[in-house]
Amino acid sequence: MPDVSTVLRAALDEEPPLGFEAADVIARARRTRRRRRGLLLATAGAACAAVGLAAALALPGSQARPVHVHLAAWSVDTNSNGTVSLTVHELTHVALLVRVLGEAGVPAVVTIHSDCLNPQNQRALDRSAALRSGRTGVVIHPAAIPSGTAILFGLAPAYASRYWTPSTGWVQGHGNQIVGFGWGLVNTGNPLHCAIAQHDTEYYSTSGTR
Amino acid sequence: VRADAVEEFTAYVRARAPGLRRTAFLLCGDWQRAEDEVQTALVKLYLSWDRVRSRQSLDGYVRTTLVRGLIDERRRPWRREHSRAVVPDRVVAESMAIEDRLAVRAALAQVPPRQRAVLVLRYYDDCDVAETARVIGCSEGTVKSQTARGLTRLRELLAAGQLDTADCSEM
Repeated sequence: MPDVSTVLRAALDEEPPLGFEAADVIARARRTRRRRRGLLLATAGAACAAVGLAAALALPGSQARPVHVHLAAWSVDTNSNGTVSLTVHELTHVALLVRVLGEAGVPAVVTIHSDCLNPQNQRALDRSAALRSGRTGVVIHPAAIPSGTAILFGLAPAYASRYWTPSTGWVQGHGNQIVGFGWGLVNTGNPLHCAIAQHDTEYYSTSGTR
Repeated sequence: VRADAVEEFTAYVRARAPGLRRTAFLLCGDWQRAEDEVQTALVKLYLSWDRVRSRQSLDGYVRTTLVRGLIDERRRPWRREHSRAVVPDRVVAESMAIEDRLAVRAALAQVPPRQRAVLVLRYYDDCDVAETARVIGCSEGTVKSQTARGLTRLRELLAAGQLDTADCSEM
């Protein structure tokens, strides 16, 4: 045993063959990415996950009108300075939500339980100009939203999220409560590239398209 | 991740995974667990592939993730390693080489995790002091002191296991 290197290498005999391949790592990474996004939604309200997708076409600035719609599930309020406050608590009346946002001058696309917030869809979002986030929602500056774009809101309902605790491990959530949301700026008119549940995606628009 | 990035990552895994698993095994003494830890480190690498690759620091990133993951695992009380006086399920060795190997593994398992990590990085992965300090996340002075303590501890353990340590004085 002449030196430490030899000592260490001596401990490596009887090495079994490698039990995984790169494809296994990639599959696990993709699962991790999906789960991590779900956790972000549950803890920080920063991501989205999608069974449904809703889009609203904003009325031109001159036609936008102040709105004050309060439901148990969500609320949209036009503020005196022209900004629009949005809070979302539960996943109901999504088509109505996007229509109200459109009437308030906020072009919006809403996804539910789908991973649509990715570089393929998103444009750089100047949050300081278009959005200011708070604990329960966001304040939107309609005038700062570039022409030809819409704000993509990804909503994560509890039923599509999982929670982890040391005592229970992973537990599937239930109910329509929104546990978080993310946002990004997307080009209107372009198809969205969502990672999962494309065949389950529902589409709403102010014209009733679904 | 782009298709060409997937190809690059696949080639990287094929080239590096066996060596990474050996490093992990020296740190944890369990081939299966070593494999799990390597997969975990490679998953993190895949998720950060473009960013890490652009910095041309793939090996450094994955080694850091792997080593720190193993050290952190051992900080958790429910995963804390319990040293044993003898190797579990030890059988009569068929040859001196096997006896030596068992003794080395038993000795390594009893070296404190951070000291063991320093020894493995410096004497198996051939990292210099600066690189070892960066991987573990400590100062170069700490690496030097941990190296000295780790070598002393390893030498004591090997001597206690009646392994020939005559040439280990320079460790």
